[in-house]
Amino acid sequence: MNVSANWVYNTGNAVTLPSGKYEIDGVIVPAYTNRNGYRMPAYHRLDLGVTLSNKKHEKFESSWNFSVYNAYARKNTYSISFRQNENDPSKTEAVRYSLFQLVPSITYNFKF
Amino acid sequence: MKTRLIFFSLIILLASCEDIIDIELNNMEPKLVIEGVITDSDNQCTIKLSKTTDYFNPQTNPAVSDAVITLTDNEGKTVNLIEIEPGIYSEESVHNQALINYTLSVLSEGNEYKAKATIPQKVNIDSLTCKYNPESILYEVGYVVTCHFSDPTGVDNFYRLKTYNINDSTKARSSEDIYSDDIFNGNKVELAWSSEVYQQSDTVIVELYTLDPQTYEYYKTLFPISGGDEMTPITTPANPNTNISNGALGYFGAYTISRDTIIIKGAQ
Repeated sequence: MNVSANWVYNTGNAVTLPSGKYEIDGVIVPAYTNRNGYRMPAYHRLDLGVTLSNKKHEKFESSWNFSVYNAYARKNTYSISFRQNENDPSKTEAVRYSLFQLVPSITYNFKF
Repeated sequence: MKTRLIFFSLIILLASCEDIIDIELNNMEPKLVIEGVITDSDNQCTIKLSKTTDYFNPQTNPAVSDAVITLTDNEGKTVNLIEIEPGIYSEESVHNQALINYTLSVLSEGNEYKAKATIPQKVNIDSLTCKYNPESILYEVGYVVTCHFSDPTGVDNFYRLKTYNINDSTKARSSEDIYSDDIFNGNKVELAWSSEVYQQSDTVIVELYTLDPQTYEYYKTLFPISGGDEMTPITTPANPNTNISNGALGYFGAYTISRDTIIIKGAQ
Protein backbone atom coordinates (compact mmCIF):
# COMPACT_ATOMS: atom_id res chain seq x y z
CA MET A 1 0.00 0.00 0.00
CA ASN A 2 1.22 3.48 -0.89
CA VAL A 3 -0.03 6.72 0.57
CA SER A 4 0.74 10.13 -0.92
CA ALA A 5 -0.10 13.75 -0.26
CA ASN A 6 0.60 16.98 -2.12
CA TRP A 7 0.10 20.54 -0.94
CA VAL A 8 0.26 23.54 -3.26
CA TYR A 9 0.36 27.17 -2.23
CA ASN A 10 0.49 30.23 -4.49
CA THR A 11 0.24 33.85 -3.41
CA GLY A 12 -2.44 35.66 -5.39
CA ASN A 13 -1.75 37.66 -8.51
CA ALA A 14 -1.60 41.43 -8.32
CA VAL A 15 -4.84 42.90 -9.68
CA THR A 16 -6.43 46.26 -10.26
CA LEU A 17 -9.70 46.51 -8.35
CA PRO A 18 -11.99 49.52 -7.97
CA SER A 19 -11.62 51.82 -5.00
CA GLY A 20 -14.64 54.00 -5.66
CA LYS A 21 -17.73 54.35 -7.79
CA TYR A 22 -19.81 56.96 -9.57
CA GLU A 23 -22.69 57.09 -12.01
CA ILE A 24 -22.71 57.91 -15.70
CA ASP A 25 -26.07 57.95 -17.44
CA GLY A 26 -27.66 55.96 -14.62
CA VAL A 27 -25.10 53.14 -14.67
CA ILE A 28 -22.64 52.58 -11.82
CA VAL A 29 -19.05 52.86 -13.04
CA PRO A 30 -16.06 51.69 -10.97
CA ALA A 31 -13.29 54.20 -10.23
CA TYR A 32 -9.70 52.98 -10.16
CA THR A 33 -6.71 54.42 -8.39
CA ASN A 34 -3.52 52.35 -8.37
CA ARG A 35 -2.81 49.76 -11.01
CA ASN A 36 -2.12 46.37 -9.39
CA GLY A 37 -2.82 47.78 -5.95
CA TYR A 38 -4.59 44.67 -4.72
CA ARG A 39 -3.87 40.96 -4.52
CA MET A 40 -6.17 38.07 -5.33
CA PRO A 41 -6.70 35.66 -2.42
CA ALA A 42 -4.01 32.98 -2.10
CA TYR A 43 -4.45 29.66 -3.87
CA HIS A 44 -3.88 26.49 -1.89
CA ARG A 45 -5.08 22.91 -2.01
CA LEU A 46 -4.26 19.49 -0.62
CA ASP A 47 -4.35 16.35 -2.75
CA LEU A 48 -4.40 12.93 -1.12
CA GLY A 49 -4.00 9.54 -2.66
CA VAL A 50 -3.72 5.89 -1.68
CA THR A 51 -2.65 3.06 -3.97
CA LEU A 52 -3.47 -0.56 -3.24
CA SER A 53 -1.43 -3.05 -5.23
CA ASN A 54 -2.87 -6.41 -6.02
CA LYS A 55 -0.85 -9.59 -5.71
CA LYS A 56 1.86 -9.60 -8.37
CA HIS A 57 1.64 -12.38 -10.90
CA GLU A 58 4.40 -13.33 -13.32
CA LYS A 59 2.89 -11.67 -16.32
CA PHE A 60 0.33 -9.32 -14.80
CA GLU A 61 0.40 -6.55 -12.22
CA SER A 62 -2.47 -4.32 -11.26
CA SER A 63 -3.37 -1.74 -8.64
CA TRP A 64 -6.19 0.45 -7.54
CA ASN A 65 -5.64 4.12 -6.81
CA PHE A 66 -8.07 6.28 -4.85
CA SER A 67 -7.33 9.96 -4.73
CA VAL A 68 -8.92 13.23 -3.81
CA TYR A 69 -8.07 16.54 -5.46
CA ASN A 70 -8.51 19.58 -3.22
CA ALA A 71 -9.25 17.43 -0.17
CA TYR A 72 -10.52 20.28 1.99
CA ALA A 73 -12.62 21.65 -0.90
CA ARG A 74 -11.25 25.19 -0.84
CA LYS A 75 -12.98 27.59 -3.22
CA ASN A 76 -9.89 28.94 -4.89
CA THR A 77 -10.61 32.22 -6.60
CA TYR A 78 -10.55 32.02 -10.36
CA SER A 79 -11.85 35.51 -10.96
CA ILE A 80 -13.45 38.40 -9.13
CA SER A 81 -15.97 40.64 -10.78
CA PHE A 82 -18.15 43.45 -9.57
CA ARG A 83 -21.74 44.09 -10.40
CA GLN A 84 -24.83 45.93 -9.28
CA ASN A 85 -27.08 43.88 -7.04
CA GLU A 86 -29.95 42.31 -9.00
CA ASN A 87 -32.59 43.24 -6.48
CA ASP A 88 -31.24 46.60 -5.46
CA PRO A 89 -29.30 48.31 -8.27
CA SER A 90 -27.93 50.96 -5.96
CA LYS A 91 -25.88 48.32 -4.13
CA THR A 92 -22.75 46.80 -5.57
CA GLU A 93 -21.28 43.43 -4.79
CA ALA A 94 -18.16 41.42 -5.49
CA VAL A 95 -18.66 38.03 -7.11
CA ARG A 96 -16.05 35.33 -6.95
CA TYR A 97 -15.90 32.48 -9.42
CA SER A 98 -14.14 29.32 -8.34
CA LEU A 99 -13.74 26.21 -10.43
CA PHE A 100 -13.23 22.85 -8.79
CA GLN A 101 -13.90 22.03 -5.17
CA LEU A 102 -13.55 18.42 -4.09
CA VAL A 103 -12.82 16.08 -7.01
CA PRO A 104 -12.46 12.39 -6.11
CA SER A 105 -11.08 9.89 -8.56
CA ILE A 106 -10.59 6.16 -8.87
CA THR A 107 -7.98 4.70 -11.18
CA TYR A 108 -7.28 1.10 -12.08
CA ASN A 109 -3.79 0.50 -13.43
CA PHE A 110 -2.55 -2.68 -14.98
CA LYS A 111 0.44 -3.82 -16.96
CA PHE A 112 1.37 -7.00 -18.72
CA MET B 1 -26.69 36.51 -29.04
CA LYS B 2 -28.60 35.85 -25.89
CA THR B 3 -29.02 32.12 -26.54
CA ARG B 4 -25.32 31.70 -27.11
CA LEU B 5 -24.53 33.59 -23.93
CA ILE B 6 -26.87 31.38 -21.94
CA PHE B 7 -25.40 28.30 -23.60
CA PHE B 8 -21.85 29.18 -22.61
CA SER B 9 -22.84 30.39 -19.17
CA LEU B 10 -24.38 26.99 -18.48
CA ILE B 11 -21.18 25.22 -19.41
CA ILE B 12 -19.11 27.36 -17.08
CA LEU B 13 -21.68 27.23 -14.29
CA LEU B 14 -21.87 23.46 -14.36
CA ALA B 15 -18.18 23.25 -13.60
CA SER B 16 -17.83 26.22 -11.33
CA CYS B 17 -19.19 27.99 -8.36
CA GLU B 18 -20.37 31.56 -8.03
CA ASP B 19 -20.18 33.24 -4.65
CA ILE B 20 -20.78 36.69 -3.37
CA ILE B 21 -17.84 37.49 -1.16
CA ASP B 22 -16.86 40.19 1.26
CA ILE B 23 -13.79 41.85 -0.04
CA GLU B 24 -11.95 44.71 1.55
CA LEU B 25 -11.40 47.59 -0.79
CA ASN B 26 -9.46 50.72 0.03
CA ASN B 27 -11.19 54.00 0.63
CA MET B 28 -10.77 56.61 -2.02
CA GLU B 29 -10.42 60.36 -1.78
CA PRO B 30 -13.70 61.60 -3.35
CA LYS B 31 -13.19 62.90 -6.86
CA LEU B 32 -15.40 65.25 -8.80
CA VAL B 33 -17.51 63.70 -11.55
CA ILE B 34 -18.68 66.02 -14.34
CA GLU B 35 -21.24 64.56 -16.68
CA GLY B 36 -22.84 66.53 -19.47
CA VAL B 37 -23.54 66.57 -23.15
CA ILE B 38 -24.39 69.13 -25.75
CA THR B 39 -26.49 68.04 -28.70
CA ASP B 40 -28.06 69.57 -31.77
CA SER B 41 -31.52 68.34 -30.84
CA ASP B 42 -32.33 71.18 -28.46
CA ASN B 43 -31.00 74.50 -27.29
CA GLN B 44 -30.04 73.58 -23.78
CA CYS B 45 -27.02 72.27 -21.99
CA THR B 46 -27.25 70.33 -18.73
CA ILE B 47 -24.24 69.40 -16.61
CA LYS B 48 -24.44 67.09 -13.61
CA LEU B 49 -21.85 67.32 -10.83
CA SER B 50 -21.31 64.63 -8.21
CA LYS B 51 -18.57 63.10 -6.13
CA THR B 52 -17.30 59.51 -6.09
CA THR B 53 -17.98 57.34 -3.06
CA ASP B 54 -16.25 54.22 -1.78
CA TYR B 55 -17.13 51.23 -3.85
CA PHE B 56 -19.46 49.40 -1.46
CA ASN B 57 -21.10 52.50 -0.07
CA PRO B 58 -24.83 52.00 -0.69
CA GLN B 59 -25.58 55.72 -0.89
CA THR B 60 -26.01 57.36 -4.25
CA ASN B 61 -23.27 59.75 -5.18
CA PRO B 62 -23.54 63.09 -3.39
CA ALA B 63 -24.41 66.06 -5.60
CA VAL B 64 -22.02 68.99 -5.71
CA SER B 65 -23.60 72.41 -5.35
CA ASP B 66 -22.38 75.98 -5.61
CA ALA B 67 -20.15 75.47 -8.59
CA VAL B 68 -19.72 78.13 -11.25
CA ILE B 69 -20.19 76.64 -14.70
CA THR B 70 -19.80 78.55 -17.95
CA LEU B 71 -20.08 77.49 -21.57
CA THR B 72 -18.22 79.49 -24.22
CA ASP B 73 -18.43 79.13 -27.98
CA ASN B 74 -15.63 79.95 -30.39
CA GLU B 75 -16.95 83.46 -30.95
CA GLY B 76 -16.42 84.19 -27.29
CA LYS B 77 -20.11 84.20 -26.35
CA THR B 78 -20.42 82.92 -22.78
CA VAL B 79 -23.42 81.46 -21.03
CA ASN B 80 -23.72 80.72 -17.29
CA LEU B 81 -25.38 77.51 -16.22
CA ILE B 82 -27.77 77.86 -13.29
CA GLU B 83 -28.17 75.21 -10.62
CA ILE B 84 -31.80 74.09 -10.98
CA GLU B 85 -31.56 71.09 -8.65
CA PRO B 86 -28.76 70.03 -6.30
CA GLY B 87 -25.87 69.11 -8.55
CA ILE B 88 -27.70 69.78 -11.82
CA TYR B 89 -26.80 72.93 -13.75
CA SER B 90 -28.64 73.94 -16.86
CA GLU B 91 -29.28 76.74 -19.30
CA GLU B 92 -32.12 76.89 -21.76
CA SER B 93 -30.95 79.38 -24.33
CA VAL B 94 -27.75 77.86 -25.63
CA HIS B 95 -27.55 78.02 -29.40
CA ASN B 96 -26.37 74.52 -30.27
CA GLN B 97 -24.93 74.27 -33.74
CA ALA B 98 -22.74 71.85 -35.59
CA LEU B 99 -19.03 72.56 -36.03
CA ILE B 100 -18.83 75.19 -33.29
CA ASN B 101 -16.17 74.62 -30.62
CA TYR B 102 -17.57 74.78 -27.11
CA THR B 103 -15.45 75.18 -24.02
CA LEU B 104 -16.92 74.18 -20.69
CA SER B 105 -15.42 75.61 -17.53
CA VAL B 106 -16.36 74.29 -14.08
CA LEU B 107 -15.16 76.05 -10.94
CA SER B 108 -15.82 73.98 -7.85
CA GLU B 109 -14.24 74.07 -4.41
CA GLY B 110 -11.36 76.17 -5.60
CA ASN B 111 -10.45 73.99 -8.58
CA GLU B 112 -11.03 74.70 -12.24
CA TYR B 113 -11.88 71.98 -14.76
CA LYS B 114 -12.07 72.65 -18.47
CA ALA B 115 -13.26 70.62 -21.41
CA LYS B 116 -13.66 71.27 -25.12
CA ALA B 117 -16.15 69.65 -27.45
CA THR B 118 -17.47 70.22 -30.95
CA ILE B 119 -20.85 69.13 -32.22
CA PRO B 120 -19.90 67.25 -35.40
CA GLN B 121 -21.58 67.52 -38.80
CA LYS B 122 -24.85 65.66 -38.68
CA VAL B 123 -25.31 62.43 -40.59
CA ASN B 124 -28.95 61.52 -41.12
CA ILE B 125 -30.55 58.10 -41.28
CA ASP B 126 -31.47 57.41 -44.92
CA SER B 127 -33.89 54.59 -44.25
CA LEU B 128 -34.78 51.75 -41.91
CA THR B 129 -35.52 48.20 -42.95
CA CYS B 130 -36.38 45.06 -41.06
CA LYS B 131 -35.68 41.45 -41.79
CA TYR B 132 -37.12 38.31 -40.31
CA ASN B 133 -34.67 36.05 -38.48
CA PRO B 134 -35.69 32.42 -38.19
CA GLU B 135 -34.61 30.51 -35.11
CA SER B 136 -30.88 29.97 -34.89
CA ILE B 137 -28.36 29.23 -32.18
CA LEU B 138 -27.13 32.82 -32.16
CA TYR B 139 -30.28 34.87 -32.42
CA GLU B 140 -33.77 34.75 -31.11
CA VAL B 141 -36.73 34.57 -33.46
CA GLY B 142 -38.02 37.91 -34.63
CA TYR B 143 -37.26 40.90 -36.77
CA VAL B 144 -33.88 42.60 -36.83
CA VAL B 145 -33.88 46.29 -37.67
CA THR B 146 -31.19 47.69 -39.94
CA CYS B 147 -30.28 51.35 -40.21
CA HIS B 148 -29.07 52.70 -43.58
CA PHE B 149 -27.03 55.86 -43.95
CA SER B 150 -24.24 57.33 -46.04
CA ASP B 151 -20.92 57.99 -44.40
CA PRO B 152 -19.34 61.23 -45.65
CA THR B 153 -15.94 60.91 -47.35
CA GLY B 154 -12.93 62.87 -46.29
CA VAL B 155 -14.03 63.25 -42.67
CA ASP B 156 -13.50 60.94 -39.70
CA ASN B 157 -16.94 60.09 -38.40
CA PHE B 158 -17.90 58.32 -35.20
CA TYR B 159 -21.31 56.88 -34.51
CA ARG B 160 -23.42 55.40 -31.78
CA LEU B 161 -26.55 53.42 -32.57
CA LYS B 162 -29.54 53.04 -30.27
CA THR B 163 -32.62 51.01 -31.12
CA TYR B 164 -35.58 50.52 -28.85
CA ASN B 165 -39.25 49.67 -28.73
CA ILE B 166 -41.31 52.81 -28.20
CA ASN B 167 -42.88 51.22 -25.13
CA ASP B 168 -39.57 50.34 -23.51
CA SER B 169 -37.08 53.18 -23.77
CA THR B 170 -35.03 52.01 -20.78
CA LYS B 171 -33.32 49.43 -22.97
CA ALA B 172 -31.90 52.19 -25.14
CA ARG B 173 -29.79 53.53 -22.33
CA SER B 174 -27.62 50.49 -22.19
CA SER B 175 -26.70 50.49 -25.86
CA GLU B 176 -22.98 50.15 -26.35
CA ASP B 177 -22.84 50.05 -30.13
CA ILE B 178 -20.25 52.59 -31.18
CA TYR B 179 -18.47 52.71 -34.53
CA SER B 180 -15.71 54.61 -36.19
CA ASP B 181 -15.84 54.94 -39.95
CA ASP B 182 -12.38 53.43 -40.53
CA ILE B 183 -13.71 50.47 -42.44
CA PHE B 184 -16.63 52.04 -44.21
CA ASN B 185 -15.43 55.57 -44.85
CA GLY B 186 -17.33 57.19 -47.66
CA ASN B 187 -19.68 54.29 -48.29
CA LYS B 188 -23.34 53.61 -47.83
CA VAL B 189 -23.58 51.78 -44.52
CA GLU B 190 -26.00 49.28 -43.08
CA LEU B 191 -25.87 48.80 -39.34
CA ALA B 192 -28.05 46.08 -37.93
CA TRP B 193 -29.05 45.97 -34.31
CA SER B 194 -28.89 42.25 -33.71
CA SER B 195 -28.99 42.00 -29.93
CA GLU B 196 -32.65 42.91 -29.87
CA VAL B 197 -35.35 41.36 -31.98
CA TYR B 198 -38.80 42.77 -32.47
CA GLN B 199 -42.18 41.31 -33.32
CA GLN B 200 -44.88 42.16 -35.84
CA SER B 201 -46.43 45.58 -35.34
CA ASP B 202 -43.84 46.76 -32.81
CA THR B 203 -42.98 50.43 -33.20
CA VAL B 204 -39.23 50.70 -33.14
CA ILE B 205 -37.25 53.90 -32.79
CA VAL B 206 -33.73 54.10 -34.16
CA GLU B 207 -31.34 56.87 -33.19
CA LEU B 208 -28.11 57.44 -35.03
CA TYR B 209 -25.67 59.62 -33.11
CA THR B 210 -22.69 61.30 -34.74
CA LEU B 211 -20.10 61.72 -32.01
CA ASP B 212 -17.33 64.19 -31.36
CA PRO B 213 -14.05 62.16 -31.56
CA GLN B 214 -13.31 62.66 -27.87
CA THR B 215 -16.81 61.52 -26.95
CA TYR B 216 -16.22 58.35 -29.01
CA GLU B 217 -12.91 57.85 -27.21
CA TYR B 218 -14.64 58.24 -23.86
CA TYR B 219 -17.35 55.69 -24.67
CA LYS B 220 -14.76 53.32 -26.10
CA THR B 221 -12.91 53.29 -22.79
CA LEU B 222 -16.05 53.49 -20.60
CA PHE B 223 -18.10 50.56 -21.91
CA PRO B 224 -15.49 47.86 -21.14
CA ILE B 225 -15.60 48.78 -17.45
CA SER B 226 -19.23 49.65 -16.94
CA GLY B 227 -21.74 47.77 -19.04
CA GLY B 228 -21.84 44.11 -19.91
CA ASP B 229 -22.33 41.33 -17.44
CA GLU B 230 -20.09 39.51 -15.03
CA MET B 231 -19.30 36.84 -17.59
CA THR B 232 -17.20 39.36 -19.46
CA PRO B 233 -14.01 39.88 -17.45
CA ILE B 234 -12.70 43.41 -17.25
CA THR B 235 -9.38 43.27 -19.06
CA THR B 236 -8.65 46.98 -19.03
CA PRO B 237 -9.39 48.28 -15.55
CA ALA B 238 -8.60 51.93 -15.93
CA ASN B 239 -10.56 55.14 -15.72
CA PRO B 240 -11.90 56.15 -19.14
CA ASN B 241 -10.04 58.69 -21.28
CA THR B 242 -11.83 61.94 -20.77
CA ASN B 243 -11.67 65.39 -22.26
CA ILE B 244 -11.98 67.06 -18.87
CA SER B 245 -8.80 68.50 -17.40
CA ASN B 246 -7.42 68.51 -13.89
CA GLY B 247 -8.30 64.99 -12.83
CA ALA B 248 -12.11 65.03 -12.87
CA LEU B 249 -14.02 61.93 -13.89
CA GLY B 250 -16.93 61.92 -16.33
CA TYR B 251 -16.98 63.73 -19.66
CA PHE B 252 -18.30 66.64 -21.69
CA GLY B 253 -19.76 65.02 -24.76
CA ALA B 254 -21.12 66.42 -28.00
CA TYR B 255 -23.17 64.66 -30.61
CA THR B 256 -25.99 64.98 -33.11
CA ILE B 257 -29.07 62.77 -33.04
CA SER B 258 -30.94 61.58 -36.11
CA ARG B 259 -34.11 59.76 -35.16
CA ASP B 260 -36.40 57.62 -37.27
CA THR B 261 -39.24 55.21 -36.61
CA ILE B 262 -40.26 51.93 -38.21
CA ILE B 263 -43.34 49.82 -37.64
CA ILE B 264 -42.54 46.15 -38.16
CA LYS B 265 -44.69 44.74 -40.94
CA GLY B 266 -43.33 41.65 -42.53
CA ALA B 267 -44.42 39.40 -45.26
CA GLN B 268 -43.07 36.59 -43.06
